[in-house]
Amino acid sequence: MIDDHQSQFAAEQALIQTPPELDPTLHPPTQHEAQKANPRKHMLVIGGSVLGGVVVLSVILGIFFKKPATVSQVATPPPEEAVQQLNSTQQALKTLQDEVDAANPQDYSFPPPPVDMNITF
Amino acid sequence: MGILGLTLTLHSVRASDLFDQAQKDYSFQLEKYRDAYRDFDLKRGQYHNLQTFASQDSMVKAAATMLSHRDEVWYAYLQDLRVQLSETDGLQPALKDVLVQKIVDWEAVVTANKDQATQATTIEAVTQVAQSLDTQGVVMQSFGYEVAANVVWGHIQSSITHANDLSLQLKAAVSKQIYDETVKTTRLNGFTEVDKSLALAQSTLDSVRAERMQFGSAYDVSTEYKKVVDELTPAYEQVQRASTLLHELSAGVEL
Repeated sequence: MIDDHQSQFAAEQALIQTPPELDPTLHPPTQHEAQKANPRKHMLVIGGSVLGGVVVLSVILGIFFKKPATVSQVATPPPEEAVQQLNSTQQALKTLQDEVDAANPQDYSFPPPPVDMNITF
Repeated sequence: MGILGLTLTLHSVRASDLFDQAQKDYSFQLEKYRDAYRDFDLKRGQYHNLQTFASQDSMVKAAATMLSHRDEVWYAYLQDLRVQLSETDGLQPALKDVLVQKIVDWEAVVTANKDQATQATTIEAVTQVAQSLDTQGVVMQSFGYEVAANVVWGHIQSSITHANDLSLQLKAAVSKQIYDETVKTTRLNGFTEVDKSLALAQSTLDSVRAERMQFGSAYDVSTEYKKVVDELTPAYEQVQRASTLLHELSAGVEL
């Protein structure tokens, strides 16, 4: 029985230690082989990477080395005529309203200060 | 804000902002005065209870501070009057000059009183400072009402001028039929109530100016000036109606 077991063990060890036989056709392709196998895809990857790099670089350079805006790019204030949006009649209406508001005797609340003018000690 | 600082600031901002700024400063000074008065009132009560030199000294210091703030309030009030006058177009320049000169005179009185208050260290001194403005304060109050009456008057006069100018502009812009109808409705050309009201107020103003010295007290003068303001109410209501109608009329006009 022991001999049977020993021989079985030895046979199993031999199986474990023996490297499996490799199929010579299954080795990974070399770089050269990969290029040969799919050159168009490779070029697209390289091209895309370069393009992305250029874009990122442009953005970074644009941030750090931004040129001052030219005169035409700076928002120029509108002419004085444009600022004064009210035409003469509208302005006259506003002026009249201001005057009328200021003239209201009932709302005229500007009495002398409520301070004690008769101090006793 | 100090007196000089306020004066400099008043010259450096636009006129439309001056009134707001003057009122803010007035409110600020009034608040400081109220705080100082509460403190003085407290110290005065302690002095009456304790009757010690220490409590008297404490009350005198509080009184001097309170009186100083009181003068600052008056100064800010005078600044407000000055700004109001400067922003009132309808007054005669000569009358405006007279009123502004009075303000300048009162400013000098108030400033001098404030200087005395800050230097007062005895109960006799603070009493003197307090009393020196007792009677003048009433006259200043009367002057405040005088300015108020004239400011309202001036604004109504100016409103009439603007309303008339505006009605002429609109007359050129709208059809004769619409304009005539509006004028008929508003009596814009006549300002009948305005004329009556202004005439009555003018009469009272003249009376107060001419007989100022004959009134029993500054209080009576104040009452008369308040009367002028009341008499101007119908005139105000008329120009207010005119203004509203001119707004409505202009809304239908292609501007």
